[in-house]
Amino acid sequence: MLEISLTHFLVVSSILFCLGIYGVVTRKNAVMVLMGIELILNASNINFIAFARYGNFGLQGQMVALFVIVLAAAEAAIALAIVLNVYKTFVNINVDELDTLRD
Amino acid sequence: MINYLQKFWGGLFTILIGMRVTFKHMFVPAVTIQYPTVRPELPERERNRLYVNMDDCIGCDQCSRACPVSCIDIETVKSIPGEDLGKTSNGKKKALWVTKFDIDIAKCCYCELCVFPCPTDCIYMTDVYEFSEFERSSFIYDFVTLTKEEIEDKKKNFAEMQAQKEAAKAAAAIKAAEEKAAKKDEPGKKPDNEKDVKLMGVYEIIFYLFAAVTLVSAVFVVTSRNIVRAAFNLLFTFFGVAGIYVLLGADFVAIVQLIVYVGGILILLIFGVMITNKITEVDIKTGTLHTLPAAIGVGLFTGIVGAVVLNTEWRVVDSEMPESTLTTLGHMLITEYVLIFELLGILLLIALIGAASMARK
Repeated sequence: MLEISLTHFLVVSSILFCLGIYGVVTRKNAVMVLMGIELILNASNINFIAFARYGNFGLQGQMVALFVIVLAAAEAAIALAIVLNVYKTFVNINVDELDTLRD
Repeated sequence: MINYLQKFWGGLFTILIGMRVTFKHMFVPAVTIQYPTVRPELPERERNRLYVNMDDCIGCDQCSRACPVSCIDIETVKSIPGEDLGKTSNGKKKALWVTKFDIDIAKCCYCELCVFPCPTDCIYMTDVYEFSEFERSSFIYDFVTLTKEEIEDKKKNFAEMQAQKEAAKAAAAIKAAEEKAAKKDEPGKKPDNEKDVKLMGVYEIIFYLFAAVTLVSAVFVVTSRNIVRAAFNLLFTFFGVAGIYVLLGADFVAIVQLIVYVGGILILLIFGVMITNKITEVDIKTGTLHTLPAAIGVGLFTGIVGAVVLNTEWRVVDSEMPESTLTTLGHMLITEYVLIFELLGILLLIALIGAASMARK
């Protein structure tokens, strides 16, 4: 079997990243768009940690990954609050139908 | 006669007027300095000749890549396992023998761009500004501390190691083939080093398992029409990613991933799904938009990124996995990253208050 190297992790993360982009682009439901964003953030985190492991940077990559996780948590909370408000105003959260800025 | 004296006086007077400036300067302090003996004080952050402290250089090549006129030329040779190259003054481990570190100071444009990327602060601008030479070639400064014999030695060591590895690989392949053949011949007999082979494969098997779990469930996340099913598949994606973190030696990040993503964000997302849908049926559906163009575009993008990843020669440093990253990460959080740490605390507080007040309206 092939020896696992940096490339393997990078390939996994790039596929995950592209799946996340696909989710963000194609989904109608705003919550599903958020899930796509989480996939993208996870893919970037795999990259950070893979480079922390295989590069000579110490643990800085893991540090950045931790910060990304914190930001993802904050982002999810705020975004879901926005989604709730949108739902209260428009009764649905399909991003393709939300084209008015005021009610 | 009077006329003559008047002319004489006029001449003398105008000479004195002319000389006034000259006389004045006899009492003014000198502005020129006696250069070689007296030196002007250089301004702060003056940029002059580069210097490299080779004791701290890890051979990472970042200064050379940052140089806009490519005046830095670095060559390195990997150290063989077991060789201790020591640590730099800020605790970075050295893993490469620097066999060539030439700076062509004649090309240098003194932009200082090479100084910033250095992870160990070993390349810097000195205050030496007098270094004229008679020969162009003497502007190439050689900072390597190893002698020629040592360089040859290191290169030989590395080549030998490489050859040994190749040989070991070849031997393993031959052995595996032989074993296969032997197994075919006598299926009852067990080979002696089966355990070793298995141990080598465990890491790979776990990696492929986690990668498969991550990617397959991620595919379901983005394609499943049932939102709740997608959310549950997201759970498996997060688990798979956490497993990949563990394989990369990031134990603490893996735990945080499980706690924050699985325990927090996913629950939040499922709440979002539940609240924002009229639950009349059991399965909550969602539509999709422009799937074909998106699939084509994303597929192309994947191809490009994948090709770049596969065709790049990554400069990999073989560092052994740390026992636990917890201590180091804790130290980094309260020293190097303390400002970001505090700022993130404030950010989370703002997010908390903001989300609560927005959702309450």
